[in-house]
This record gives sequence, structure tokens and C-alpha cells, in this order.
Amino acid sequence: MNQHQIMIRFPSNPRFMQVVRGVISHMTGLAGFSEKETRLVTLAVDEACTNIMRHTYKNEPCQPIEAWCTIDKEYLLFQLLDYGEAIDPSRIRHRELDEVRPGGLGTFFMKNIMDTVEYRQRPEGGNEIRMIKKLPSQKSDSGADPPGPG
Amino acid sequence: MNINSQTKNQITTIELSGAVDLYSSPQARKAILSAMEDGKPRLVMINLSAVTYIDSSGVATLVEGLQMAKEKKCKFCLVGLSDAAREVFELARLHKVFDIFPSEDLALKQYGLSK
Repeated sequence: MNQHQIMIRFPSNPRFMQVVRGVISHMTGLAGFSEKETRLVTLAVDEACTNIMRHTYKNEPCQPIEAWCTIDKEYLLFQLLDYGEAIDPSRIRHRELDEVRPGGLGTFFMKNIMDTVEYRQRPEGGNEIRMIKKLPSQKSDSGADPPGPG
Repeated sequence: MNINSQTKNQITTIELSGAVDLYSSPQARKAILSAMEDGKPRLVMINLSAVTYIDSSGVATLVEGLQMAKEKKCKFCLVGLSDAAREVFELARLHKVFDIFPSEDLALKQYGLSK
């Protein structure tokens, strides 16, 4: 399969997440994941988007988020770009599962569903969350290095 | 998301349907917490059979409901989890924290209650 890439740009308003989830879900299905895996990947990317809305943009509803989705022959890659204040990746952690309390689960979902979740501050400003899931047909690590947006 | 709430014989059933996400979970939270604050029910059942999607904010809402139920000494359970809801609860390992039943009738039977 050749590489296919789409990008959507949407405001940091949770009411648009149903639309965004539709795109994520369709792309994940096109990449060959099962219905259950598609639901879980959609959840992971949704959680990353809403973390940006809540933590980076502090619930301001009109800030831009770009979601790049790349289907490669070996992996599915999501890159989420924001234009907010730089987030220190070392401060991002999920709660322990034996704590029964509201909140703190989003990051846990992301890390447990995806094969790789990486955060970085972009030199031009803002942050990037990079999430990779190997395609179902890829059982061994290829060592491939997914490209950046554009 | 749609919310349908009914109370009979101090048993409140709240049926959530559609997507319970960051946008809609505040409505679910309000419905669940106000049912316990206003109605003083013996049992609150949250029916999730028509939930097509639930994210961490939806799960957090239900955890908050469970915690308030403990404070109010009210029974609290989830019934009829859709596949989408069950997968998320299992992933969060919260299926062992909540009382979960396949149907409302089985929940009532387990608690020895009737509407």
C-alpha cells in the first residue's frame, strides 16, 4: 500500500469531537483494523485531542488543532499539532489504576492502546503529540521511522 | 447524547444513549448527581445499553456517581453495557469496581428490590 495522508483542522471545542472521531474511525478502519481496535484507536486519539483542549488551551473553544493521519504500509500514525504554550512532556503522566477517582484516565488510554505515544515541543511554537499503531499485518518491529506532517 | 431518567419506588434508572464524551458528560453528571441529591433513592441504575461511545470524562462521571452513592449510602450500578462501554471499562479495569449487570431486572433481583 502506498502512503496515504489526510489532515483536518478543527477548533478546540469539544462539540466538534464527534466529527473528528468520525474521520479517525474511518481512517483506522481503512488501515485494516478490526471494529474493536478501531473503537479503541479512536478513543486514544480523542483523548489526546481533548487533553489539548483542556490542558494546553485551558478550555478556550476557538483555538486551532491540526490532526494529521498517515496510513503507511506498516503503521498508522496520528500527529496532533497545537499552537498553545509549550507543555513539559515529563509532567504528563497517568494515574495509577488502583486509585478509584474521577479523571486521569485519558493518558492511560492513549499509552495502553497505541504502540507509541510521544510528546514534543515544536521549534516554531506549540506542541506535537505523535501516536503510532502498527498495522494488524505487521507483527514484528520494522524499525521504520514515520515522517512528519506535510 | 440523550438522557432518560425515571424514578419509581425510590429506584432511579438513568438511561444514557449516544456519545458520552467531554461535550456531553456534564449533562450526564448533572442528571446522576441531582438524582442522588434530590431524590434520595435506594438504588441508582445507569443503563448504558445504547451508549455508542464513552471517553475518560464519561467514565469519570460514573466514578463520581459511584463515590457520591457511597457517601449517601445508596446502591449504584451499571446495567446493559454496550460493547463500546464494556471495552472502555475493561481497559480501565473499572469493571471490578462497579456493580455491573446484564439487565435492570437482574440488578433488581440481585439487590432484592422491585419497582
